[in-house]
Amino acid sequence: MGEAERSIWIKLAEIDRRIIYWSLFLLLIIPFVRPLMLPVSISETTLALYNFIEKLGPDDIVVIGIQSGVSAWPECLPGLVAATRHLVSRNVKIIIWGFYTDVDMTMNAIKARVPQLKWPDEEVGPGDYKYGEDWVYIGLIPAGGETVVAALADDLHAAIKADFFGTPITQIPLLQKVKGAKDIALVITSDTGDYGWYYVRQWNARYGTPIAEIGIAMIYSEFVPYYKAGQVIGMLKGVRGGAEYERLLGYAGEGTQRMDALNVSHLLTIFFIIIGNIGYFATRKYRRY
Amino acid sequence: MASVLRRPEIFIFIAGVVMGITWIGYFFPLGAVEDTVSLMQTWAVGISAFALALGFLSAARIHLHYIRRRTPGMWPFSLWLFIFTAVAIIAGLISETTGFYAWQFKWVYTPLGATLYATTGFYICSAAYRAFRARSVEAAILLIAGIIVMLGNCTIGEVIWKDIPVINEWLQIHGQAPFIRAIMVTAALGLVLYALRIMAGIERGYLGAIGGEGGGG
Repeated sequence: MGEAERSIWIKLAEIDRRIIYWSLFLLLIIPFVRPLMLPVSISETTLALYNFIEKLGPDDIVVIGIQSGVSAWPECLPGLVAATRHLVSRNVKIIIWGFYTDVDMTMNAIKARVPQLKWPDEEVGPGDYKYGEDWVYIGLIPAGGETVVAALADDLHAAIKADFFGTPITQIPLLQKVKGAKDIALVITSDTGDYGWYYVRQWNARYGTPIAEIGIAMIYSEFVPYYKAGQVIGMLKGVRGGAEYERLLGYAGEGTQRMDALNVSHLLTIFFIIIGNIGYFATRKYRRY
Repeated sequence: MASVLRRPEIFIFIAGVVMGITWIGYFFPLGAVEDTVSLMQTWAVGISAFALALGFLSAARIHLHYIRRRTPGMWPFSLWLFIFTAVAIIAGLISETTGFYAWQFKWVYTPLGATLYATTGFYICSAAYRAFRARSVEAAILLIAGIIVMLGNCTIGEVIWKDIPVINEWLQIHGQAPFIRAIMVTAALGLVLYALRIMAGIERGYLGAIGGEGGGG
């Protein structure tokens, strides 16, 4: 192998990171200019959650625990919105709370995309969710980790005293029906960290409450054993899970749109991995390592 | 008196009793024990809130030190921490949901959070290029599995080959589950042992300075 040829292979194996950054940045513009909107197949775990919610009705109460911050919106928000839409379409009662300081932002983002959820001061029309009777927003539960999750399961009224607006929970009709985990048909937990496990340990293991996970794709694998054990009844895998759920509900929302960015970035990463390996094998015998 | 209250035996006793009652309450639904556990959990919520304030005081102490010493590369950020903390507290006290408090969340916190998260995509792409080299048979297997999972997670994978999602799902749900389960069960058993050591007073690392020698047993 000549010097010039060897130099090309070495360059392939040692591409400057700025080239990678710029390539990714430029390629990510393509979906904005020309969306691909490729069809998405439905995975087993997404279908399992969909089928479970399909069986719920107006007498069931579901808790949505938001433990993912605004930084995880690209991954978790489409799934959260789709699941909330599905619950609303089934007239299921909803209680929402969160453990991250920016939970109010996420709540507002969901509400903007699920307009049937009405605040107390908003007019309620046919098909809308009346605050206090059909849904409640507790707001931020600031501290306590697993202990608070356990306390909520045991006695919700002892753990929290008021909703987001400061209304005592004893005066909220929906919460008067709820003592703890035994009264909840499903917990949908959206996570970037450990809270999903807390719900599995404290709500499912002790009271048998079904748990569903809408988390970032990275933690999907960690919940697979719980899914296989039947403790987690369904899971959405990051933005793809959101896109799959949107398809099941029959609309193309943000999840479907964001799949384009995932397509482009993943393809580019795979392309660079292959290039790197070609360079590595071509120059291996000239390297000390 | 103060020295008596700092005796590690007191803390070990409290931790042992609390852990024991909680443990019994978890596995045996006895009325009185359940009520006690519920009461202690309510206390824990309050203690956690107090710990937040304690955490802020601890951070404030460290950053005040940086400012006082004019530590190069640190003190301007420490000063900024205090300024923004004061702004956030005042804004929150005035109005928790509207006005400037909501503005800072919407226009400062949210874009910063999204930017930080998005930036990791660039680092991951670059890191994957550098790290994913088929240097051995094991690395090659990891590489192939990684590429299948990447393709399976995006819709273009099934356009390339319709069975990619099937293989991906098998890898993620059936292929890896036994290994993750083994790790999780092993870690959980370790945690049980750790808890038993705390209850028995052997493990004292959590007590910090007052635990004296024997921390970690």
